[in-house]
Amino acid sequence: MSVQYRTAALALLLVAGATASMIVGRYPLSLADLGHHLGLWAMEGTDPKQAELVRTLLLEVRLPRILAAICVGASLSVSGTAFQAMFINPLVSPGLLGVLAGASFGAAAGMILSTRWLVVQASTFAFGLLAVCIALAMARAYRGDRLLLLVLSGVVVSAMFTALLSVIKYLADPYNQLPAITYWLMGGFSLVTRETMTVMMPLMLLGTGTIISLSGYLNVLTMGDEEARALGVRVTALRTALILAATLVSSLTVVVGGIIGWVGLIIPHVGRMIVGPDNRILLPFSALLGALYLLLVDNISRLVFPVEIPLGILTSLLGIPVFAVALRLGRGGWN
Amino acid sequence: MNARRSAGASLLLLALLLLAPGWSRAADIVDMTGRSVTIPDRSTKIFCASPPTLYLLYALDSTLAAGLNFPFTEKEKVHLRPDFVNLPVLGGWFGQGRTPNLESVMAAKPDFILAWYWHQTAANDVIEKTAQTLGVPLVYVRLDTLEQYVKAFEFLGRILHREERGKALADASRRILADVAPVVAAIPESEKVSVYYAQGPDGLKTECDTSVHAELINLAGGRNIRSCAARDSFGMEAVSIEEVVFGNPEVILAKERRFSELARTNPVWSHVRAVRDGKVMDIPAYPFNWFDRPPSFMRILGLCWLTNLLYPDRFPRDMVAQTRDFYRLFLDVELDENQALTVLGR
Repeated sequence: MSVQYRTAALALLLVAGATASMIVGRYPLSLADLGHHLGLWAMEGTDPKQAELVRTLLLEVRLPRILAAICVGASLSVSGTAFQAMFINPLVSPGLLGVLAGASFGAAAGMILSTRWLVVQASTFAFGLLAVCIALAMARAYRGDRLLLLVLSGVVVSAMFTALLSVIKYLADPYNQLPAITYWLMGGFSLVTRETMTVMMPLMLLGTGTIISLSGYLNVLTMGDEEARALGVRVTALRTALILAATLVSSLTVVVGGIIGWVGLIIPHVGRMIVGPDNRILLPFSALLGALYLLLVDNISRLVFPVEIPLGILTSLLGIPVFAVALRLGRGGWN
Repeated sequence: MNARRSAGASLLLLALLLLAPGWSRAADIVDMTGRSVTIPDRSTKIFCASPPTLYLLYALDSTLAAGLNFPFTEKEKVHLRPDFVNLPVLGGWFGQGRTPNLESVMAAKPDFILAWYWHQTAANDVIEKTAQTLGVPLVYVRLDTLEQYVKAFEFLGRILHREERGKALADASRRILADVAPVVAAIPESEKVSVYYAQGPDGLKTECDTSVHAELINLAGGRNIRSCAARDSFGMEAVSIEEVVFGNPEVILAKERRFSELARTNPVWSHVRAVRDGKVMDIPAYPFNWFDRPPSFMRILGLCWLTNLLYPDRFPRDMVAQTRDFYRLFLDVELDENQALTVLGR
């Protein structure tokens, strides 16, 4: 099967998965109710209260959550793929330059200092960006191997924000604020609202779209800076643009669902096993794969247990069998 | 003229028909924080966002609870109504995991969500918005002091049409408060018993005398050896063993059994008067703690217990009988004498 077919199949699977997810949930809702609500067929004895409830359930509870899972999954795997290609290193994940550490700190600081969730979201986003900007500035301050310096600055900035996060946790009221911070950082979509997704989704699509549109250049970058320059690519400008786009979407994933690990590191590898290393195909494929994976995991989180299980736990635990299956089935080759 | 009158009459009738379901279904109430909330007039199912409100509702009418915040242990189940402990666990927003699944909450079809208004935080903000999205009204109660528990019983009784039950609970609470108050007022400052409240497995976490967590010590006429201004609303102030030895309390209230066992065997603790005199007391905790953490109306019985413990001569009460009465009225469970003694830790 050619890679185009595989991508198309995956896209179809995602659409089917999203549709199926709208139908299932812990609130028992029959297909008849759904079809009636969607205007597919008319039913006798319409109860306006029931219709209102179905509307809330579908549009306010399920849809934002499904969109969140899809967008966050796609964002994390696209930025992970881009980072792995850019740094020519298979162990790199979107958090490399400190964006997740910065965003975590921002979220925690917001929860301590403000009583408004909007402020928490803004602070999460701002500190994620700030962390990466500090890392970029530090890497520029010294002349030498660009990639190595970026990685090193990223490690330093991550350490700094992790330490600052610990300070916040240490100072937080352990009865109320500390658990709120801890559980938020475990990730989850249980409180995603329609308003949040209305703002976040276009931004995330913009970021992932930017990265995917630069996938051809990304292929050149994987050959190394010297070769890329020789081919006439403005390496620094290109890399900065890619890093900023990846940072934007990674930061937004924390705003929407807290820290969701694993997806950004392993999904790109699984994608590479299936369709090979060409970023022009790999990036959109990873996006679909990450979206489908997170959608599946979030469905398990909201369907299997009466109370929510933090998503960060499930992505890692369920990811291991997925990874094993991918290893077994992978045909695309690593490099 | 006639036609117009009949048209008017039919319009009136139509208006009545339209309004009738409305007024029988909805009631505007003002909750304990002064917010106006519209709830169904006959509420039959309530989702409690955290344990303090769930316990409050249990006392008023346990059949109204939509679900539990967390499963009860076997030891707690003994002292609760069986139909209550078998309710589904829906979780709650009280910062200990068990985040509720929104659809599970919707499927339980609660008439409103009952929450304790304590701190306004960013995490609460998003929960309030979520309740709004789900279209479930949110009613706040205030439960910071014992007085507010009394008011909360009356408030819940009023909005749930359980006025008599609410009044009975409030009156019983007031009786205990009024029983204790004059006795405590008559105790001269010099004769006040010094108390240390030991939390944590090592017993070295305590509460300031001004903290609401240690409110009962002051109300029972004790003198908290830890005199300070609370750092924050959470408390759990760390102290060193030296401070406890220096403070030399006459009574130690132990939150954890592990600590009371440690205090009896550890040579360092033997320098404290309370340990030497055998006055390290385990705080009764079944089904809910009588003192604090989580705070609940059981504090009202806790006040009676603590005053009796500190001043057996000034406040002689048959605690077994008091406990049995309280459990019968508030928890709707019958304890025999041995069970009451076990609860009291004797």
